Amino acid sequence: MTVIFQEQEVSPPGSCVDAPTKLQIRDLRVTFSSRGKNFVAVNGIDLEVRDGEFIAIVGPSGSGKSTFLMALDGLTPSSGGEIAVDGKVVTGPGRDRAVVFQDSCLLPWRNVLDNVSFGLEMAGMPKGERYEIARELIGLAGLTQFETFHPKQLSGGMQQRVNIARALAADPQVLLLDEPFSGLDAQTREIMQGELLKIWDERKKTAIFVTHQIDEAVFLADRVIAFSARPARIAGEWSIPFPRPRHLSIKQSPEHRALEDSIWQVVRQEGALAAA
Amino acid sequence: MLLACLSVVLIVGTWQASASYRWVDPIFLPGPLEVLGALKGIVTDPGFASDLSVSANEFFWGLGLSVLVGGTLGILSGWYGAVDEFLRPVVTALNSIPHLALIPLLVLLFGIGVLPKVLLVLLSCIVVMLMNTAAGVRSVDTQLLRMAKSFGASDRQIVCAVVLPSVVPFFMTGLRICVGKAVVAVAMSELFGSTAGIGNILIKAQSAMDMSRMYAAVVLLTVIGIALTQLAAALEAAMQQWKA
Repeated sequence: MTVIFQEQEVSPPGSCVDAPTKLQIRDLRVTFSSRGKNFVAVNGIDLEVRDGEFIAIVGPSGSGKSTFLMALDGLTPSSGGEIAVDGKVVTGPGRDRAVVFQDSCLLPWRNVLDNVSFGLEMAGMPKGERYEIARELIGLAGLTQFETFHPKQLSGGMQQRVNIARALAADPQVLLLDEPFSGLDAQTREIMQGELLKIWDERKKTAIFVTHQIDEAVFLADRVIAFSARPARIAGEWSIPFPRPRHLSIKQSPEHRALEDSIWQVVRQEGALAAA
Repeated sequence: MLLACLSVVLIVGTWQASASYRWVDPIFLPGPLEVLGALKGIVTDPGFASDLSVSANEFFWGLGLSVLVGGTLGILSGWYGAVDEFLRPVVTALNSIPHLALIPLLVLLFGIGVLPKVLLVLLSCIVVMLMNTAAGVRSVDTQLLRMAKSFGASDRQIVCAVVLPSVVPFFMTGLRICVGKAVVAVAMSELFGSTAGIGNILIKAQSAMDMSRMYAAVVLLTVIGIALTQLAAALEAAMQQWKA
């Protein structure tokens, strides 16, 4: 098997090479028990993420990508190793990280404005202030006319925009995205990828984006990391050289395709190992 | 709506025909117009206000206590498995007895004042409130709990912002059911021994063989029951517009 692109052969993206480390993960292990048996979901992952870097994580189904992300948020306890944001060790959920959930996880009885300001409300910010911040992000997500709508009245794509706006409104240091577009149809997903980059270009948050769509990972990220089959370790790493702001049309370029191929070969091999 | 009106018109029409053509002796079933006249008599009676207020008192105290106690216990037993287990035998028992069968017992123990009526309403309603509220707590979306935790919400914030709002629809359904049950409980317990109340008007009219007045009291109870249930249903709908 020939791997077309190795990480060394790709020029690193210019924007954040010299940026300081934002997120430091050292030898992270996550185990979980089911029916009295212990499973290792994540086995010794080391990763250093620079400030403002967009990382996408791909891997075969059930490879522990989402478990890894939940451990970063602190919702799932880690059983070894260390996670640090700006040098501060993570011990549980905190305001320096925010998750964009796979299912939008909006409170159905709250309108868009009150959903987007949820994180700020939990942080104890007074109403006027949090509404001001929330309105700014609602505008960025293109939902200004829908401020008073309830989640049931919104399409799946719009719900995910609210989900993203809610995470960004909390102004976290690190944004964690757990397959946020996997429930959307292919067309909406493409649109949302473009929208996400538009919003992200405004805020430049350090982001970890878990997905099983390789084209999505290449289009969005500065760096793509492939996880092995469970227990997860890093099976491959690619720098994505496309300049920003990126337009959806770059997905058609041969360079984009070649990167997708190269990543796909690793993921497929790991998937086959998992199935064996 | 039109069909609903039609069915009412049909019933009242048959009733009038029965009186006009003497299908049933009007002594036992007076016509709707006479009953309407008697209803006017009841409502304009100077003693009516106090009868109404006695029944209303029994209704609101019984329902209020059921909502308060049943709701609180429901939240606790929905949240803590131990509370649920502890209460389960009592809840199951209370849910299985025909409550009206307890009236003679309550009269024996507590006399014929307001207290046994309040207790009967409580016995009829508390389990419904408890079970509905507990079901509401158990149905809280765990994904939403996880989301709230991820945003650093404290336990208290989670209860206020996630748990209680998800319980509201269940709670309101329980309340709507209980309003009907409470009206029945008040009326029935007043029939079995009372000194005042709308049920008391009914039973006194029956003893006096004043059939029109007796039917009028039945109509009055029906109208009150429907009105209160509709009110509760409207409140229920208003509090969950986000579901539409």
